[in-house]
Amino acid sequence: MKTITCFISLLLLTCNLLATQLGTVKGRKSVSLNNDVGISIAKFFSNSPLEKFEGNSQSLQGSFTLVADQLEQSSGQISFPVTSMKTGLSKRDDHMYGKDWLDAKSHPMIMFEVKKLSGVSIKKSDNTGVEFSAIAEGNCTLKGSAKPTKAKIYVKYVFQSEATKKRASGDLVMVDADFSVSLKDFNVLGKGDIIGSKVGEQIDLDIKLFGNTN
Amino acid sequence: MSAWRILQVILIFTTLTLSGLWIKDGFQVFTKDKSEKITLVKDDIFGTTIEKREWIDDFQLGLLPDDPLLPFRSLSFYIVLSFLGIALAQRKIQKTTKHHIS
Repeated sequence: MKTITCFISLLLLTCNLLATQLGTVKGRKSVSLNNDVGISIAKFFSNSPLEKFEGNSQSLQGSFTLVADQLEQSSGQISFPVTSMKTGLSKRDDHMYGKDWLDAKSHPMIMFEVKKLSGVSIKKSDNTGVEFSAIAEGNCTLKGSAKPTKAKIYVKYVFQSEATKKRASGDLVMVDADFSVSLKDFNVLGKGDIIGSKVGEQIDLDIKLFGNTN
Repeated sequence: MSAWRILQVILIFTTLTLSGLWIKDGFQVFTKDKSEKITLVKDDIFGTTIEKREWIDDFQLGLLPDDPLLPFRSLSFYIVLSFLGIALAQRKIQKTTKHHIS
Protein backbone atom coordinates (compact mmCIF):
# COMPACT_ATOMS: atom_id res chain seq x y z
CA MET A 1 0.00 0.00 0.00
CA LYS A 2 2.85 2.33 0.97
CA THR A 3 4.56 1.68 -2.36
CA ILE A 4 1.39 2.58 -4.28
CA THR A 5 0.92 5.82 -2.29
CA CYS A 6 4.56 6.74 -2.91
CA PHE A 7 4.20 5.99 -6.63
CA ILE A 8 1.04 8.12 -6.95
CA SER A 9 2.65 10.98 -5.02
CA LEU A 10 5.71 10.80 -7.26
CA LEU A 11 3.53 10.75 -10.36
CA LEU A 12 1.52 13.78 -9.19
CA LEU A 13 4.74 15.63 -8.32
CA THR A 14 6.17 14.88 -11.75
CA CYS A 15 2.97 16.07 -13.43
CA ASN A 16 3.08 19.24 -11.35
CA LEU A 17 6.69 19.88 -12.24
CA LEU A 18 5.93 19.37 -15.93
CA ALA A 19 2.98 21.80 -15.82
CA THR A 20 3.70 25.40 -16.78
CA GLN A 21 1.92 28.61 -15.73
CA LEU A 22 -0.40 27.90 -18.67
CA GLY A 23 -1.25 24.42 -17.45
CA THR A 24 -0.30 21.79 -20.00
CA VAL A 25 0.68 24.36 -22.63
CA LYS A 26 4.40 24.36 -23.33
CA GLY A 27 6.84 26.82 -24.86
CA ARG A 28 5.89 29.96 -26.74
CA LYS A 29 2.37 30.38 -28.03
CA SER A 30 1.89 32.97 -30.73
CA VAL A 31 -1.63 34.43 -30.67
CA SER A 32 -3.00 36.38 -33.64
CA LEU A 33 -6.09 38.55 -33.37
CA ASN A 34 -8.94 36.87 -35.17
CA ASN A 35 -12.45 38.25 -35.66
CA ASP A 36 -13.81 34.68 -35.94
CA VAL A 37 -12.92 34.23 -32.27
CA GLY A 38 -14.49 37.57 -31.31
CA ILE A 39 -14.50 41.17 -32.46
CA SER A 40 -11.54 42.93 -30.85
CA ILE A 41 -12.47 46.42 -29.72
CA ALA A 42 -10.73 49.44 -28.21
CA LYS A 43 -13.21 51.63 -26.34
CA PHE A 44 -12.13 55.09 -25.20
CA PHE A 45 -13.83 57.38 -22.68
CA SER A 46 -13.49 61.12 -22.29
CA ASN A 47 -14.78 62.79 -19.15
CA SER A 48 -14.78 66.58 -19.10
CA PRO A 49 -16.97 69.18 -17.31
CA LEU A 50 -18.92 70.05 -20.49
CA GLU A 51 -19.36 66.61 -21.97
CA LYS A 52 -18.77 62.94 -21.38
CA PHE A 53 -18.39 60.89 -24.50
CA GLU A 54 -17.10 57.55 -25.62
CA GLY A 55 -16.05 55.98 -28.85
CA ASN A 56 -14.37 52.93 -30.18
CA SER A 57 -12.36 51.27 -32.88
CA GLN A 58 -13.09 47.75 -34.06
CA SER A 59 -10.19 47.54 -36.51
CA LEU A 60 -7.57 46.14 -34.19
CA GLN A 61 -4.78 44.06 -35.61
CA GLY A 62 -1.66 42.43 -34.24
CA SER A 63 -0.38 39.47 -32.33
CA PHE A 64 1.27 38.56 -29.07
CA THR A 65 3.35 35.73 -27.73
CA LEU A 66 2.63 34.01 -24.44
CA VAL A 67 5.59 32.24 -22.90
CA ALA A 68 3.94 29.34 -21.08
CA ASP A 69 6.64 28.61 -18.51
CA GLN A 70 7.55 32.25 -17.93
CA LEU A 71 4.48 34.41 -18.59
CA GLU A 72 6.45 37.49 -17.49
CA GLN A 73 8.42 37.24 -20.75
CA SER A 74 5.30 37.48 -22.91
CA SER A 75 5.26 40.25 -25.50
CA GLY A 76 3.20 41.58 -28.37
CA GLN A 77 2.09 44.41 -30.55
CA ILE A 78 -1.45 45.66 -31.16
CA SER A 79 -2.43 48.57 -33.38
CA PHE A 80 -5.43 50.23 -34.99
CA PRO A 81 -5.89 53.03 -37.53
CA VAL A 82 -6.75 56.47 -36.12
CA THR A 83 -9.48 56.84 -38.76
CA SER A 84 -11.25 53.74 -37.42
CA MET A 85 -12.08 55.60 -34.19
CA LYS A 86 -15.74 56.66 -34.10
CA THR A 87 -17.66 58.67 -31.49
CA GLY A 88 -21.13 59.03 -33.04
CA LEU A 89 -20.49 62.61 -34.10
CA SER A 90 -18.93 62.72 -37.58
CA LYS A 91 -17.72 66.33 -37.25
CA ARG A 92 -15.94 65.51 -33.99
CA ASP A 93 -14.39 62.42 -35.62
CA ASP A 94 -13.07 64.63 -38.45
CA HIS A 95 -11.56 67.03 -35.90
CA MET A 96 -10.06 64.09 -33.97
CA TYR A 97 -8.25 62.88 -37.11
CA GLY A 98 -6.97 66.43 -37.79
CA LYS A 99 -3.53 67.92 -37.27
CA ASP A 100 -4.35 69.58 -33.91
CA TRP A 101 -5.50 66.28 -32.47
CA LEU A 102 -4.31 62.81 -33.56
CA ASP A 103 -2.95 63.86 -36.97
CA ALA A 104 -4.08 60.74 -38.84
CA LYS A 105 -2.33 61.81 -42.05
CA SER A 106 1.17 61.87 -40.54
CA HIS A 107 0.59 59.23 -37.85
CA PRO A 108 -2.08 56.87 -39.16
CA MET A 109 -1.74 54.19 -36.47
CA ILE A 110 -2.07 54.00 -32.69
CA MET A 111 0.15 51.26 -31.37
CA PHE A 112 0.67 49.33 -28.13
CA GLU A 113 3.84 47.37 -27.72
CA VAL A 114 3.95 44.98 -24.78
CA LYS A 115 7.50 44.23 -23.66
CA LYS A 116 6.83 42.16 -20.55
CA LEU A 117 4.26 41.21 -17.94
CA SER A 118 4.57 41.74 -14.22
CA GLY A 119 2.49 40.73 -11.21
CA VAL A 120 1.19 37.60 -12.93
CA SER A 121 -1.48 35.96 -10.80
CA ILE A 122 -3.13 32.71 -11.90
CA LYS A 123 -6.85 32.99 -11.11
CA LYS A 124 -8.09 29.71 -12.51
CA SER A 125 -6.48 26.65 -14.00
CA ASP A 126 -8.29 23.49 -15.02
CA ASN A 127 -8.53 21.09 -17.93
CA THR A 128 -10.47 23.64 -20.05
CA GLY A 129 -8.04 26.51 -19.74
CA VAL A 130 -6.21 29.06 -17.65
CA GLU A 131 -7.13 32.54 -16.46
CA PHE A 132 -4.63 35.05 -15.12
CA SER A 133 -4.28 38.72 -14.35
CA ALA A 134 -1.12 40.76 -14.82
CA ILE A 135 0.27 44.19 -15.57
CA ALA A 136 1.35 44.58 -19.20
CA GLU A 137 4.33 46.91 -19.47
CA GLY A 138 5.39 48.51 -22.70
CA ASN A 139 4.97 51.54 -24.90
CA CYS A 140 1.96 53.31 -26.31
CA THR A 141 2.58 55.23 -29.53
CA LEU A 142 0.19 58.05 -30.27
CA LYS A 143 0.76 60.91 -32.73
CA GLY A 144 4.30 59.67 -33.27
CA SER A 145 5.26 59.81 -29.57
CA ALA A 146 6.03 56.59 -27.74
CA LYS A 147 5.55 56.69 -23.97
CA PRO A 148 5.92 53.94 -21.36
CA THR A 149 2.50 52.58 -20.44
CA LYS A 150 1.21 50.04 -17.96
CA ALA A 151 -2.10 48.26 -18.45
CA LYS A 152 -4.06 45.98 -16.14
CA ILE A 153 -4.85 42.85 -18.09
CA TYR A 154 -7.00 39.78 -17.55
CA VAL A 155 -6.35 36.85 -19.86
CA LYS A 156 -8.63 33.89 -20.53
CA TYR A 157 -6.78 31.10 -22.32
CA VAL A 158 -9.08 28.30 -23.52
CA PHE A 159 -7.57 25.00 -24.66
CA GLN A 160 -8.58 23.61 -28.04
CA SER A 161 -11.72 21.47 -27.90
CA GLU A 162 -14.55 20.40 -30.17
CA ALA A 163 -16.40 23.60 -29.16
CA THR A 164 -13.45 25.93 -29.87
CA LYS A 165 -12.75 24.25 -33.23
CA LYS A 166 -16.14 25.49 -34.46
CA ARG A 167 -14.90 29.04 -34.01
CA ALA A 168 -11.21 28.85 -34.96
CA SER A 169 -8.28 26.47 -34.90
CA GLY A 170 -5.87 26.18 -31.98
CA ASP A 171 -6.35 27.49 -28.46
CA LEU A 172 -8.53 30.59 -28.06
CA VAL A 173 -7.53 33.66 -26.07
CA MET A 174 -9.41 36.67 -24.76
CA VAL A 175 -7.58 39.62 -23.22
CA ASP A 176 -9.22 42.47 -21.33
CA ALA A 177 -6.94 45.49 -20.83
CA ASP A 178 -7.57 48.77 -19.01
CA PHE A 179 -5.36 51.84 -18.85
CA SER A 180 -5.35 55.63 -19.23
CA VAL A 181 -3.36 58.02 -21.37
CA SER A 182 -2.77 61.70 -20.80
CA LEU A 183 -3.23 63.64 -24.06
CA LYS A 184 -0.57 66.20 -23.07
CA ASP A 185 2.04 63.45 -22.73
CA PHE A 186 1.59 62.62 -26.39
CA ASN A 187 1.62 66.26 -27.51
CA VAL A 188 -2.09 66.16 -28.33
CA LEU A 189 -3.01 69.73 -27.41
CA GLY A 190 -6.16 70.38 -29.45
CA LYS A 191 -7.42 73.87 -30.28
CA GLY A 192 -7.68 76.61 -27.64
CA ASP A 193 -8.68 75.30 -24.22
CA ILE A 194 -10.87 72.45 -25.46
CA ILE A 195 -8.82 69.89 -23.48
CA GLY A 196 -10.12 70.07 -19.95
CA SER A 197 -13.48 71.59 -20.93
CA LYS A 198 -14.95 69.60 -23.83
CA VAL A 199 -12.38 66.78 -23.94
CA GLY A 200 -10.93 65.06 -20.89
CA GLU A 201 -7.24 65.51 -20.07
CA GLN A 202 -7.06 61.77 -19.44
CA ILE A 203 -8.57 59.30 -21.86
CA ASP A 204 -9.49 55.92 -20.38
CA LEU A 205 -9.13 52.90 -22.60
CA ASP A 206 -10.85 49.54 -22.31
CA ILE A 207 -9.50 47.07 -24.83
CA LYS A 208 -10.82 43.59 -25.54
CA LEU A 209 -8.77 41.30 -27.74
CA PHE A 210 -9.73 37.95 -29.22
CA GLY A 211 -7.33 35.62 -30.93
CA ASN A 212 -6.21 32.09 -31.54
CA THR A 213 -2.88 30.30 -31.43
CA ASN A 214 -1.24 29.44 -34.74
CA MET B 1 -57.36 85.24 -31.29
CA SER B 2 -54.97 87.39 -33.34
CA ALA B 3 -52.41 86.00 -35.80
CA TRP B 4 -49.61 87.14 -33.45
CA ARG B 5 -51.11 85.23 -30.54
CA ILE B 6 -51.41 82.11 -32.76
CA LEU B 7 -47.73 82.53 -33.72
CA GLN B 8 -46.79 82.69 -30.02
CA VAL B 9 -48.71 79.49 -29.29
CA ILE B 10 -47.08 77.71 -32.26
CA LEU B 11 -43.58 78.81 -31.15
CA ILE B 12 -44.17 77.69 -27.55
CA PHE B 13 -45.55 74.36 -28.78
CA THR B 14 -42.56 73.87 -31.15
CA THR B 15 -40.04 74.67 -28.39
CA LEU B 16 -41.73 72.30 -25.96
CA THR B 17 -41.86 69.52 -28.59
CA LEU B 18 -38.18 69.95 -29.47
CA SER B 19 -37.25 70.06 -25.77
CA GLY B 20 -39.12 66.78 -25.33
CA LEU B 21 -37.20 65.31 -28.26
CA TRP B 22 -33.93 66.52 -26.70
CA ILE B 23 -34.82 64.83 -23.39
CA LYS B 24 -35.83 61.65 -25.24
CA ASP B 25 -32.48 61.67 -27.08
CA GLY B 26 -30.66 61.70 -23.74
CA PHE B 27 -29.87 65.37 -22.90
CA GLN B 28 -26.98 65.42 -25.42
CA VAL B 29 -24.77 68.51 -25.28
CA PHE B 30 -23.93 68.20 -28.97
CA THR B 31 -26.15 66.91 -31.76
CA LYS B 32 -25.07 63.46 -32.93
CA ASP B 33 -25.57 61.88 -36.32
CA LYS B 34 -24.88 58.28 -35.32
CA SER B 35 -25.83 56.02 -32.47
CA GLU B 36 -24.42 52.72 -31.37
CA LYS B 37 -26.51 49.59 -31.51
CA ILE B 38 -25.22 47.34 -28.73
CA THR B 39 -26.19 43.67 -28.71
CA LEU B 40 -25.20 41.52 -25.74
CA VAL B 41 -24.22 38.00 -26.73
CA LYS B 42 -23.49 35.19 -24.27
CA ASP B 43 -20.12 33.63 -25.07
CA ASP B 44 -20.07 30.08 -23.74
CA ILE B 45 -16.43 29.42 -24.63
CA PHE B 46 -15.09 32.37 -22.60
CA GLY B 47 -17.93 32.18 -20.07
CA THR B 48 -18.79 35.83 -20.38
CA THR B 49 -21.11 38.27 -22.13
CA ILE B 50 -19.71 39.92 -25.24
CA GLU B 51 -20.91 43.25 -26.61
CA LYS B 52 -21.45 43.50 -30.35
CA ARG B 53 -21.36 47.17 -31.31
CA GLU B 54 -22.47 48.68 -34.57
CA TRP B 55 -22.74 52.36 -35.59
CA ILE B 56 -25.99 53.25 -37.31
CA ASP B 57 -27.12 56.57 -38.83
CA ASP B 58 -29.39 58.14 -36.23
CA PHE B 59 -29.99 61.87 -35.68
CA GLN B 60 -30.03 62.80 -31.98
CA LEU B 61 -30.86 66.42 -31.22
CA GLY B 62 -28.38 68.16 -28.95
CA LEU B 63 -28.34 71.48 -27.13
CA LEU B 64 -25.55 72.69 -29.43
CA PRO B 65 -25.02 71.89 -33.13
CA ASP B 66 -22.66 69.14 -34.29
CA ASP B 67 -21.37 71.54 -36.95
CA PRO B 68 -21.01 75.29 -36.16
CA LEU B 69 -21.87 76.02 -39.80
CA LEU B 70 -25.25 74.29 -39.36
CA PRO B 71 -26.68 76.01 -36.24
CA PHE B 72 -30.22 74.88 -37.02
CA ARG B 73 -29.21 71.34 -36.03
CA SER B 74 -29.54 72.21 -32.33
CA LEU B 75 -32.18 72.89 -29.69
CA SER B 76 -30.57 76.19 -28.66
CA PHE B 77 -31.13 77.60 -32.17
CA TYR B 78 -34.91 77.03 -31.90
CA ILE B 79 -35.05 78.29 -28.30
CA VAL B 80 -33.40 81.57 -29.33
CA LEU B 81 -35.55 81.81 -32.45
CA SER B 82 -38.74 81.13 -30.47
CA PHE B 83 -37.77 83.62 -27.77
CA LEU B 84 -37.24 86.35 -30.38
CA GLY B 85 -40.46 85.36 -32.20
CA ILE B 86 -42.52 85.40 -29.00
CA ALA B 87 -41.04 88.77 -27.94
CA LEU B 88 -41.72 90.26 -31.39
CA ALA B 89 -45.28 88.93 -31.38
CA GLN B 90 -45.85 90.30 -27.87
CA ARG B 91 -44.66 93.73 -28.99
CA LYS B 92 -47.03 93.64 -31.95
CA ILE B 93 -49.93 92.53 -29.71
CA GLN B 94 -49.24 95.39 -27.28
CA LYS B 95 -49.00 97.91 -30.15
CA THR B 96 -52.33 96.70 -31.56
CA THR B 97 -53.98 96.88 -28.11
CA LYS B 98 -52.73 100.48 -27.56
CA HIS B 99 -53.93 101.40 -31.04
CA HIS B 100 -57.40 100.03 -30.25
CA ILE B 101 -57.57 101.87 -26.89
CA SER B 102 -56.57 105.22 -28.39
